[in-house]
Amino acid sequence: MSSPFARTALKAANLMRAGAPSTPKKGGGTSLNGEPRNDLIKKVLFDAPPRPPVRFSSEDMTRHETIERAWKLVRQQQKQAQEEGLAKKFEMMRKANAELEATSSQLFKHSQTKERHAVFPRQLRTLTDTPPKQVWNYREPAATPAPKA
Amino acid sequence: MSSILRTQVLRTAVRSLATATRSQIQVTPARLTVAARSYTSAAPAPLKSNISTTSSAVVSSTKDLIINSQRIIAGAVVSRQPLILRDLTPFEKEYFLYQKNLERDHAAAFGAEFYFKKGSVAERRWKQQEAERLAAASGASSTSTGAKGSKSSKGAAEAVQDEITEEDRVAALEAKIQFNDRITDADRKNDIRSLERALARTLYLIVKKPREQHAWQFPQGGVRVCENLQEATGRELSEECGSNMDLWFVGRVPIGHYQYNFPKDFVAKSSNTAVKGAKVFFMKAHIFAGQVQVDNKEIVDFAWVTKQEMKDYVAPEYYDAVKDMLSDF
Repeated sequence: MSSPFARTALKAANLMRAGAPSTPKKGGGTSLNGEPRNDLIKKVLFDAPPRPPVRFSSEDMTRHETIERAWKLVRQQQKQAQEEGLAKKFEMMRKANAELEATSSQLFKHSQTKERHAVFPRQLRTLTDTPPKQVWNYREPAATPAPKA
Repeated sequence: MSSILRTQVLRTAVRSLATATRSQIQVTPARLTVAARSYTSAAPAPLKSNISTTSSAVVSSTKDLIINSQRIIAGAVVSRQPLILRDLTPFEKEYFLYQKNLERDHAAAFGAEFYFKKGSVAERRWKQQEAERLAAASGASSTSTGAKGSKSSKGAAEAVQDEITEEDRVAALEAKIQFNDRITDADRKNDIRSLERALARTLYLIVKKPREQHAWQFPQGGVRVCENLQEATGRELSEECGSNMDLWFVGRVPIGHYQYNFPKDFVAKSSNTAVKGAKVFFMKAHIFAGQVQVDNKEIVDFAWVTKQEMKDYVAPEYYDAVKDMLSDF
Protein backbone atom coordinates (compact mmCIF):
# COMPACT_ATOMS: atom_id res chain seq x y z
CA MET A 1 0.00 0.00 0.00
CA SER A 2 1.54 3.28 -1.07
CA SER A 3 1.81 5.97 1.58
CA PRO A 4 -0.40 9.05 1.39
CA PHE A 5 2.73 11.09 0.65
CA ALA A 6 3.55 9.12 -2.49
CA ARG A 7 0.04 9.82 -3.76
CA THR A 8 0.33 13.58 -3.18
CA ALA A 9 3.78 13.65 -4.83
CA LEU A 10 2.29 12.10 -7.98
CA LYS A 11 -0.49 14.69 -7.97
CA ALA A 12 2.09 17.47 -7.74
CA ALA A 13 4.08 16.06 -10.68
CA ASN A 14 0.93 15.86 -12.77
CA LEU A 15 0.08 19.44 -11.94
CA MET A 16 3.57 20.50 -13.04
CA ARG A 17 3.25 18.75 -16.42
CA ALA A 18 -0.25 20.05 -16.96
CA GLY A 19 0.83 23.62 -16.22
CA ALA A 20 2.40 23.98 -19.64
CA PRO A 21 1.57 26.69 -22.22
CA SER A 22 -1.78 25.12 -23.23
CA THR A 23 -3.66 26.74 -20.29
CA PRO A 24 -5.48 30.07 -20.94
CA LYS A 25 -3.80 33.21 -19.62
CA LYS A 26 -5.24 34.85 -16.51
CA GLY A 27 -6.44 38.45 -16.33
CA GLY A 28 -5.02 39.52 -19.67
CA GLY A 29 -1.68 37.78 -19.08
CA THR A 30 1.64 39.24 -17.98
CA SER A 31 3.70 41.13 -20.47
CA LEU A 32 7.02 40.55 -18.68
CA ASN A 33 9.86 38.45 -20.07
CA GLY A 34 9.32 34.74 -19.49
CA GLU A 35 5.53 34.83 -19.71
CA PRO A 36 4.86 31.10 -19.47
CA ARG A 37 7.02 30.94 -16.34
CA ASN A 38 4.96 33.61 -14.57
CA ASP A 39 1.74 31.82 -15.47
CA LEU A 40 3.21 28.60 -14.16
CA ILE A 41 4.19 30.29 -10.90
CA LYS A 42 0.70 31.73 -10.53
CA LYS A 43 -0.85 28.37 -11.27
CA VAL A 44 1.29 26.55 -8.71
CA LEU A 45 0.67 29.18 -6.04
CA PHE A 46 -2.99 29.96 -6.55
CA ASP A 47 -4.53 27.17 -8.63
CA ALA A 48 -3.04 24.34 -6.61
CA PRO A 49 -5.51 21.57 -5.77
CA PRO A 50 -7.19 22.06 -2.39
CA ARG A 51 -6.10 20.06 0.62
CA PRO A 52 -7.68 16.59 0.57
CA PRO A 53 -10.24 16.08 3.33
CA VAL A 54 -8.97 14.25 6.39
CA ARG A 55 -10.32 10.69 6.43
CA PHE A 56 -10.14 8.77 9.69
CA SER A 57 -11.33 5.25 10.32
CA SER A 58 -13.50 4.90 13.44
CA GLU A 59 -10.59 3.31 15.27
CA ASP A 60 -8.25 6.15 14.24
CA MET A 61 -10.90 8.67 15.19
CA THR A 62 -11.31 7.40 18.75
CA ARG A 63 -7.53 7.26 19.10
CA HIS A 64 -7.21 10.85 17.83
CA GLU A 65 -9.95 12.08 20.13
CA THR A 66 -8.36 10.40 23.13
CA ILE A 67 -5.01 12.00 22.34
CA GLU A 68 -6.60 15.43 21.97
CA ARG A 69 -8.52 15.05 25.25
CA ALA A 70 -5.38 13.98 27.09
CA TRP A 71 -3.50 16.98 25.68
CA LYS A 72 -6.22 19.41 26.71
CA LEU A 73 -6.27 17.89 30.18
CA VAL A 74 -2.51 18.23 30.57
CA ARG A 75 -2.58 21.84 29.36
CA GLN A 76 -5.43 22.60 31.77
CA GLN A 77 -3.43 21.15 34.67
CA GLN A 78 -0.35 23.15 33.70
CA LYS A 79 -2.35 26.39 33.51
CA GLN A 80 -4.02 25.60 36.82
CA ALA A 81 -0.66 25.09 38.50
CA GLN A 82 0.60 28.38 37.01
CA GLU A 83 -2.44 30.25 38.25
CA GLU A 84 -2.09 28.77 41.72
CA GLY A 85 1.56 29.83 41.86
CA LEU A 86 0.67 33.36 40.82
CA ALA A 87 -2.19 33.53 43.34
CA LYS A 88 0.17 32.50 46.15
CA LYS A 89 2.70 35.14 45.09
CA PHE A 90 0.04 37.81 44.98
CA GLU A 91 -1.26 36.86 48.41
CA MET A 92 2.25 37.12 49.87
CA MET A 93 2.66 40.54 48.25
CA ARG A 94 -0.73 41.73 49.53
CA LYS A 95 0.02 40.63 53.11
CA ALA A 96 3.45 42.27 52.99
CA ASN A 97 1.95 45.54 51.81
CA ALA A 98 -0.77 45.43 54.46
CA GLU A 99 1.92 44.85 57.08
CA LEU A 100 4.02 47.70 55.68
CA GLU A 101 1.05 50.06 55.75
CA ALA A 102 0.46 49.19 59.40
CA THR A 103 4.17 49.56 60.19
CA SER A 104 5.35 52.75 58.53
CA SER A 105 3.29 55.17 56.49
CA GLN A 106 6.40 56.76 54.97
CA LEU A 107 7.83 53.47 53.70
CA PHE A 108 4.40 52.44 52.52
CA LYS A 109 3.84 55.66 50.57
CA HIS A 110 7.17 55.26 48.81
CA SER A 111 6.40 51.65 47.94
CA GLN A 112 3.02 52.54 46.44
CA THR A 113 4.18 55.44 44.29
CA LYS A 114 5.28 54.13 40.94
CA GLU A 115 8.41 55.39 39.25
CA ARG A 116 7.30 57.78 36.57
CA HIS A 117 9.67 56.84 33.77
CA ALA A 118 10.21 53.20 34.63
CA VAL A 119 11.26 50.99 31.75
CA PHE A 120 11.95 47.30 31.43
CA PRO A 121 15.64 46.47 31.33
CA ARG A 122 17.05 45.61 27.92
CA GLN A 123 18.92 42.69 29.44
CA LEU A 124 15.74 40.70 29.97
CA ARG A 125 16.56 37.85 27.63
CA THR A 126 14.14 36.04 25.37
CA LEU A 127 14.25 32.33 26.09
CA THR A 128 15.90 30.23 23.41
CA ASP A 129 16.43 26.52 22.85
CA THR A 130 20.16 26.71 23.43
CA PRO A 131 22.29 29.14 25.43
CA PRO A 132 24.56 31.81 23.89
CA LYS A 133 28.31 31.34 23.37
CA GLN A 134 29.10 33.26 26.55
CA VAL A 135 26.56 31.77 28.89
CA TRP A 136 27.09 34.24 31.74
CA ASN A 137 29.07 37.44 31.96
CA TYR A 138 30.96 37.26 35.25
CA ARG A 139 32.13 40.83 34.87
CA GLU A 140 34.99 41.73 37.17
CA PRO A 141 35.11 45.14 38.84
CA ALA A 142 37.49 47.56 37.14
CA ALA A 143 40.86 47.97 38.81
CA THR A 144 41.20 51.35 40.48
CA PRO A 145 43.21 53.60 38.14
CA ALA A 146 46.67 54.62 39.34
CA PRO A 147 46.64 58.17 40.71
CA LYS A 148 48.14 60.61 38.26
CA ALA A 149 50.98 62.48 39.88
CA MET B 1 -4.02 55.01 30.07
CA SER B 2 -7.32 56.85 29.45
CA SER B 3 -7.58 60.54 30.25
CA ILE B 4 -10.35 59.93 32.82
CA LEU B 5 -8.17 57.48 34.72
CA ARG B 6 -5.22 59.84 34.49
CA THR B 7 -7.19 62.73 36.05
CA GLN B 8 -8.49 60.42 38.79
CA VAL B 9 -4.99 59.32 39.67
CA LEU B 10 -3.78 62.91 39.60
CA ARG B 11 -6.60 63.99 41.94
CA THR B 12 -5.84 61.28 44.51
CA ALA B 13 -2.13 62.02 44.30
CA VAL B 14 -2.70 65.73 44.89
CA ARG B 15 -5.04 64.96 47.78
CA SER B 16 -2.52 62.65 49.43
CA LEU B 17 0.26 65.18 48.97
CA ALA B 18 -1.85 67.95 50.47
CA THR B 19 -2.65 65.96 53.62
CA ALA B 20 0.91 64.78 54.24
CA THR B 21 3.34 67.17 55.90
CA ARG B 22 6.57 68.22 54.25
CA SER B 23 8.79 66.20 56.58
CA GLN B 24 7.02 62.96 55.76
CA ILE B 25 7.65 63.02 52.07
CA GLN B 26 11.02 64.02 50.75
CA VAL B 27 10.41 63.56 47.09
CA THR B 28 13.13 63.94 44.53
CA PRO B 29 12.25 64.02 40.84
CA ALA B 30 12.18 60.55 39.36
CA ARG B 31 15.45 59.60 37.72
CA LEU B 32 15.35 58.51 34.13
CA THR B 33 16.57 54.95 34.04
CA VAL B 34 17.09 54.76 30.30
CA ALA B 35 20.33 56.67 30.21
CA ALA B 36 23.79 55.74 31.45
CA ARG B 37 23.81 51.97 31.26
CA SER B 38 26.87 50.32 29.85
CA TYR B 39 26.34 47.19 27.78
CA THR B 40 29.88 46.20 26.88
CA SER B 41 31.26 43.24 28.78
CA ALA B 42 34.47 45.03 29.75
CA ALA B 43 32.73 48.16 30.96
CA PRO B 44 34.75 50.05 33.54
CA ALA B 45 31.83 52.26 34.62
CA PRO B 46 30.27 51.50 38.02
CA LEU B 47 27.06 49.46 37.98
CA LYS B 48 23.92 51.58 38.15
CA SER B 49 20.67 49.93 39.12
CA ASN B 50 17.19 51.42 39.12
CA ILE B 51 17.09 52.35 42.80
CA SER B 52 15.19 55.53 43.58
CA THR B 53 16.41 57.63 46.46
CA THR B 54 14.33 59.51 49.00
CA SER B 55 17.12 60.56 51.30
CA SER B 56 18.06 64.16 50.70
CA ALA B 57 21.66 65.32 51.00
CA VAL B 58 20.94 67.24 54.20
CA VAL B 59 19.24 64.55 56.28
CA SER B 60 21.18 61.30 56.20
CA SER B 61 21.91 59.12 59.18
CA THR B 62 23.08 55.61 59.83
CA LYS B 63 20.54 55.09 62.61
CA ASP B 64 18.50 51.90 62.37
CA LEU B 65 14.79 52.23 61.84
CA ILE B 66 12.95 50.74 64.81
CA ILE B 67 9.16 50.81 65.10
CA ASN B 68 7.27 49.32 68.08
CA SER B 69 10.43 47.62 69.38
CA GLN B 70 10.89 45.83 66.07
CA ARG B 71 13.79 46.43 63.73
CA ILE B 72 12.72 47.03 60.14
CA ILE B 73 14.87 44.95 57.83
CA ALA B 74 15.00 44.90 54.04
CA GLY B 75 15.67 41.51 52.46
CA ALA B 76 16.60 40.79 48.83
CA VAL B 77 15.18 37.98 46.71
CA VAL B 78 17.69 38.14 43.85
CA SER B 79 16.76 35.80 41.02
CA ARG B 80 18.57 34.71 37.90
CA GLN B 81 15.82 34.11 35.37
CA PRO B 82 15.98 31.06 33.08
CA LEU B 83 18.15 31.49 29.98
CA ILE B 84 16.73 28.64 27.88
CA LEU B 85 13.33 27.05 27.30
CA ARG B 86 12.39 24.20 29.58
CA ASP B 87 12.73 20.56 28.53
CA LEU B 88 9.62 19.01 27.04
CA THR B 89 7.87 16.28 28.98
CA PRO B 90 7.72 12.86 27.24
CA PHE B 91 4.01 13.33 26.55
CA GLU B 92 4.63 16.74 24.98
CA LYS B 93 7.34 15.27 22.73
CA GLU B 94 5.07 12.44 21.61
CA TYR B 95 2.15 14.77 21.01
CA PHE B 96 4.19 17.19 18.89
CA LEU B 97 5.57 14.27 16.87
CA TYR B 98 2.05 12.93 16.35
CA GLN B 99 0.78 16.33 15.18
CA LYS B 100 3.75 16.74 12.85
CA ASN B 101 3.13 13.39 11.18
CA LEU B 102 -0.59 14.11 10.93
CA GLU B 103 0.12 17.41 9.18
CA ARG B 104 2.56 15.77 6.82
CA ASP B 105 0.16 12.97 5.93
CA HIS B 106 -2.73 15.29 5.21
CA ALA B 107 -0.85 18.21 3.72
CA ALA B 108 -1.50 19.55 0.23
CA ALA B 109 0.72 18.46 -2.65
CA PHE B 110 4.27 19.78 -2.63
CA GLY B 111 5.74 20.31 -6.08
CA ALA B 112 9.40 19.45 -5.51
CA GLU B 113 10.02 19.74 -9.27
CA PHE B 114 8.88 23.34 -9.10
CA TYR B 115 10.80 24.47 -6.02
CA PHE B 116 14.08 22.61 -6.56
CA LYS B 117 16.24 23.14 -9.62
CA LYS B 118 16.80 19.88 -11.51
CA GLY B 119 20.12 18.28 -10.65
CA SER B 120 20.94 20.75 -7.84
CA VAL B 121 22.46 19.76 -4.52
CA ALA B 122 19.35 21.01 -2.69
CA GLU B 123 17.16 18.70 -4.79
CA ARG B 124 19.44 15.77 -4.06
CA ARG B 125 19.34 16.50 -0.34
CA TRP B 126 15.54 16.78 -0.43
CA LYS B 127 15.21 13.43 -2.21
CA GLN B 128 17.58 11.83 0.28
CA GLN B 129 15.58 13.19 3.24
CA GLU B 130 12.30 12.01 1.69
CA ALA B 131 13.71 8.56 1.03
CA GLU B 132 14.90 8.35 4.65
CA ARG B 133 11.51 9.49 5.89
CA LEU B 134 9.69 6.90 3.78
CA ALA B 135 12.08 4.19 4.89
CA ALA B 136 11.56 5.12 8.55
CA ALA B 137 7.79 5.16 8.11
CA SER B 138 7.63 1.90 6.19
CA GLY B 139 10.22 0.24 8.45
CA ALA B 140 8.17 1.13 11.52
CA SER B 141 4.92 -0.15 10.06
CA SER B 142 6.04 -3.44 8.49
CA THR B 143 9.21 -5.56 8.57
CA SER B 144 8.76 -7.14 5.13
CA THR B 145 9.44 -3.92 3.23
CA GLY B 146 12.73 -3.55 5.12
CA ALA B 147 14.42 -6.19 2.97
CA LYS B 148 13.18 -4.56 -0.25
CA GLY B 149 14.46 -1.17 0.92
CA SER B 150 18.00 -2.50 1.46
CA LYS B 151 18.14 -4.04 -2.04
CA SER B 152 17.15 -0.80 -3.77
CA SER B 153 19.64 1.21 -1.71
CA LYS B 154 22.56 -1.05 -2.81
CA GLY B 155 21.80 -0.33 -6.47
CA ALA B 156 21.75 3.40 -5.84
CA ALA B 157 25.00 3.33 -3.81
CA GLU B 158 27.23 3.74 -6.88
CA ALA B 159 25.25 6.74 -8.14
CA VAL B 160 25.42 8.29 -4.69
CA GLN B 161 29.26 8.17 -4.63
CA ASP B 162 29.49 10.36 -7.75
CA GLU B 163 27.31 12.95 -6.10
CA ILE B 164 29.25 12.99 -2.84
CA THR B 165 32.10 15.08 -4.23
CA GLU B 166 29.62 17.72 -5.39
CA GLU B 167 28.02 17.63 -1.93
CA ASP B 168 31.38 18.09 -0.24
CA ARG B 169 32.14 21.09 -2.41
CA VAL B 170 28.88 22.78 -1.53
CA ALA B 171 29.12 21.77 2.14
CA ALA B 172 32.56 23.36 2.36
CA LEU B 173 31.12 26.68 1.20
CA GLU B 174 28.27 26.65 3.69
CA ALA B 175 28.71 27.92 7.24
CA LYS B 176 28.08 25.29 9.87
CA ILE B 177 25.75 26.33 12.69
CA GLN B 178 27.08 25.29 16.07
CA PHE B 179 24.54 24.92 18.83
CA ASN B 180 25.73 25.18 22.40
CA ASP B 181 25.02 22.54 24.99
CA ARG B 182 21.97 22.99 27.20
CA ILE B 183 23.76 21.20 30.02
CA THR B 184 26.82 23.21 31.02
CA ASP B 185 29.98 22.27 32.93
CA ALA B 186 28.43 23.78 36.03
CA ASP B 187 25.58 21.26 35.77
CA ARG B 188 28.00 18.34 35.49
CA LYS B 189 30.15 19.50 38.39
CA ASN B 190 27.04 20.58 40.34
CA ASP B 191 28.73 23.89 41.15
CA ILE B 192 26.21 25.53 43.48
CA ARG B 193 27.85 28.96 43.24
CA SER B 194 27.77 29.09 39.45
CA LEU B 195 25.21 31.17 37.56
CA GLU B 196 25.52 28.87 34.53
CA ARG B 197 23.87 25.95 36.30
CA ALA B 198 20.29 24.83 35.60
CA LEU B 199 19.79 27.19 32.67
CA ALA B 200 16.11 26.30 32.29
CA ARG B 201 15.29 27.07 35.94
CA THR B 202 15.04 30.20 38.09
CA LEU B 203 17.92 30.46 40.56
CA TYR B 204 17.71 32.40 43.83
CA LEU B 205 20.57 33.82 45.87
CA ILE B 206 21.00 32.62 49.44
CA VAL B 207 23.90 33.59 51.68
CA LYS B 208 25.49 31.90 54.66
CA LYS B 209 26.03 33.76 57.92
CA PRO B 210 28.84 32.70 60.28
CA ARG B 211 26.62 30.96 62.81
CA GLU B 212 25.25 27.51 63.55
CA GLN B 213 21.48 28.01 63.63
CA HIS B 214 19.65 29.56 60.66
CA ALA B 215 22.87 30.07 58.76
CA TRP B 216 21.44 30.16 55.22
CA GLN B 217 18.93 32.88 54.28
CA PHE B 218 18.25 35.62 51.76
CA PRO B 219 20.62 38.58 52.06
CA GLN B 220 19.11 41.19 54.38
CA GLY B 221 20.01 44.19 56.47
CA GLY B 222 18.49 46.90 58.63
CA VAL B 223 16.70 49.83 57.04
CA ARG B 224 18.04 53.17 58.20
CA VAL B 225 16.01 56.24 59.12
CA CYS B 226 15.39 58.44 56.04
CA GLU B 227 15.84 55.49 53.71
CA ASN B 228 13.31 53.56 51.66
CA LEU B 229 13.11 49.79 51.24
CA GLN B 230 14.60 49.69 47.74
CA GLU B 231 17.55 51.85 48.78
CA ALA B 232 18.17 49.78 51.89
CA THR B 233 18.13 46.54 49.89
CA GLY B 234 20.56 47.91 47.33
CA ARG B 235 22.91 49.16 50.01
CA GLU B 236 22.84 45.89 51.94
CA LEU B 237 23.48 43.86 48.80
CA SER B 238 26.47 45.99 47.81
CA GLU B 239 27.85 45.76 51.37
CA GLU B 240 27.36 42.02 51.83
CA CYS B 241 27.64 40.67 48.28
CA GLY B 242 29.96 43.14 46.61
CA SER B 243 29.27 45.63 43.85
CA ASN B 244 30.02 43.29 40.94
CA MET B 245 26.37 42.52 40.26
CA ASP B 246 24.21 44.06 37.54
CA LEU B 247 20.88 44.20 39.39
CA TRP B 248 17.45 45.45 38.42
CA PHE B 249 14.82 45.94 41.11
CA VAL B 250 11.30 44.91 40.16
CA GLY B 251 9.44 48.00 41.34
CA ARG B 252 9.23 49.40 44.84
CA VAL B 253 6.61 47.03 46.20
CA PRO B 254 7.74 44.37 48.69
CA ILE B 255 6.85 40.83 47.64
CA GLY B 256 6.72 39.25 51.08
CA HIS B 257 7.46 39.70 54.73
CA TYR B 258 8.74 37.64 57.66
CA GLN B 259 8.55 38.41 61.34
CA TYR B 260 10.66 36.91 64.08
CA ASN B 261 11.60 37.60 67.69
CA PHE B 262 15.19 37.65 68.88
CA PRO B 263 16.18 34.99 71.40
CA LYS B 264 16.16 36.36 74.97
CA ASP B 265 19.89 36.05 75.53
CA PHE B 266 20.55 38.01 72.33
CA VAL B 267 18.26 40.82 73.51
CA ALA B 268 20.04 40.96 76.88
CA LYS B 269 23.49 41.09 75.25
CA SER B 270 22.63 43.64 72.53
CA SER B 271 23.25 47.36 72.97
CA ASN B 272 19.62 48.32 72.44
CA THR B 273 17.49 46.18 74.77
CA ALA B 274 14.31 47.88 73.60
CA VAL B 275 14.44 45.93 70.34
CA LYS B 276 12.67 42.60 70.81
CA GLY B 277 12.36 41.34 67.27
CA ALA B 278 12.53 42.12 63.57
CA LYS B 279 10.29 42.51 60.55
CA VAL B 280 11.83 41.66 57.20
CA PHE B 281 10.32 43.02 53.98
CA PHE B 282 11.58 41.27 50.87
CA MET B 283 12.30 43.18 47.67
CA LYS B 284 12.57 41.44 44.32
CA ALA B 285 15.53 41.93 42.00
CA HIS B 286 16.93 40.32 38.85
CA ILE B 287 20.62 39.77 38.20
CA PHE B 288 21.80 40.15 34.61
CA ALA B 289 25.57 39.93 34.97
CA GLY B 290 28.31 39.63 37.55
CA GLN B 291 28.70 37.46 40.62
CA VAL B 292 28.58 37.64 44.40
CA GLN B 293 31.75 38.57 46.27
CA VAL B 294 31.53 37.59 49.94
CA ASP B 295 32.84 40.11 52.45
CA ASN B 296 33.71 37.36 54.97
CA LYS B 297 32.38 39.54 57.76
CA GLU B 298 28.60 39.35 57.58
CA ILE B 299 28.42 36.48 55.09
CA VAL B 300 30.93 33.70 54.49
CA ASP B 301 29.38 31.76 51.61
CA PHE B 302 26.68 31.99 48.96
CA ALA B 303 24.70 29.73 46.63
CA TRP B 304 22.40 30.08 43.65
CA VAL B 305 19.67 27.50 44.17
CA THR B 306 16.29 26.57 42.72
CA LYS B 307 13.14 26.68 44.85
CA GLN B 308 13.28 22.91 45.46
CA GLU B 309 16.99 22.92 46.38
CA MET B 310 16.51 25.72 48.87
CA LYS B 311 14.79 23.30 51.24
CA ASP B 312 18.16 21.60 51.87
CA TYR B 313 19.81 24.86 52.91
CA VAL B 314 17.46 27.14 54.83
CA ALA B 315 15.64 26.41 58.08
CA PRO B 316 12.23 24.69 57.66
CA GLU B 317 10.15 27.51 59.18
CA TYR B 318 12.00 30.08 57.07
CA TYR B 319 11.36 28.02 53.92
CA ASP B 320 7.66 27.74 54.74
CA ALA B 321 7.48 31.50 55.22
CA VAL B 322 9.22 32.40 51.94
CA LYS B 323 8.43 29.57 49.51
CA ASP B 324 5.25 31.19 48.14
CA MET B 325 7.24 34.17 46.88
CA LEU B 326 9.33 31.95 44.61
CA SER B 327 8.68 30.53 41.15
CA ASP B 328 8.23 26.77 40.87
CA PHE B 329 10.05 26.82 37.60
